[in-house]
Amino acid sequence: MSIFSAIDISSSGMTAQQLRVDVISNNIANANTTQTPEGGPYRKEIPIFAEQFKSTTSGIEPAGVAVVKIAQDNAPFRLVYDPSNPQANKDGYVEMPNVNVLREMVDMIDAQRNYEANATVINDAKTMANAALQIGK
Amino acid sequence: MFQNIDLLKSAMDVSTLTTQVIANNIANADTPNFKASYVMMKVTQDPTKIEPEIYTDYSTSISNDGNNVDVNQQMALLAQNTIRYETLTLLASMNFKRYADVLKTV
Repeated sequence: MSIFSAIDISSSGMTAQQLRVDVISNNIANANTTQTPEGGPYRKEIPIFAEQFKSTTSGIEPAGVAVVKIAQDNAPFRLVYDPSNPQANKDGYVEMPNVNVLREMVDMIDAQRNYEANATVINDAKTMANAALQIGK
Repeated sequence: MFQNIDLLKSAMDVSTLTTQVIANNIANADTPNFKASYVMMKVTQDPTKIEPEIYTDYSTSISNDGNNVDVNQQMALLAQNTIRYETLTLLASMNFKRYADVLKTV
């Protein structure tokens, strides 16, 4: 346990949220991408968060969060009726990515709020460390 | 002679641990199945010591992914904890100042 553990933990939270915003912006940028190197339309990507621990001399301690994997959403593709499109199937439907832009925007606000919360914890931990330095003055 | 300071020190240690636990709760606010932990203060037989006790609340869920971190509540706890810590440092300063004042008069 040290005064800097809280700062380390919060910075891991900020890093994870920043990566989440990167993934969200990639999803939004590819909301209409129908061609990918793997073939087929773009699949929505989801960062998987997992709690982290570290072992210290005083036992196992929490060490914040990390993105352990960026998974793909298995939801079905959105079908849009557009018979004149060269990518349309025999029924006239085009497969579009399974990205819901509205959902992405909401997730982005959530990520931003969480980033701010982590930044506030860092500031408070700093205030505490400075208060301790003033003892005896 | 320094019993007061020892007691304040152990209360400050509990406060530091609380900050760490709150930081971990907030960092994991989006981790599926993560459960929030809280620090309780435990009175011991030793009058110069307070012991922390961490407990994890497994009984609730506030979102579909099984997570139960309420960020607003955690921010309120953090604000309380920071003020408590600053009060403790002030008390420690006042204790030291008392000794300094006594030494000056001798």
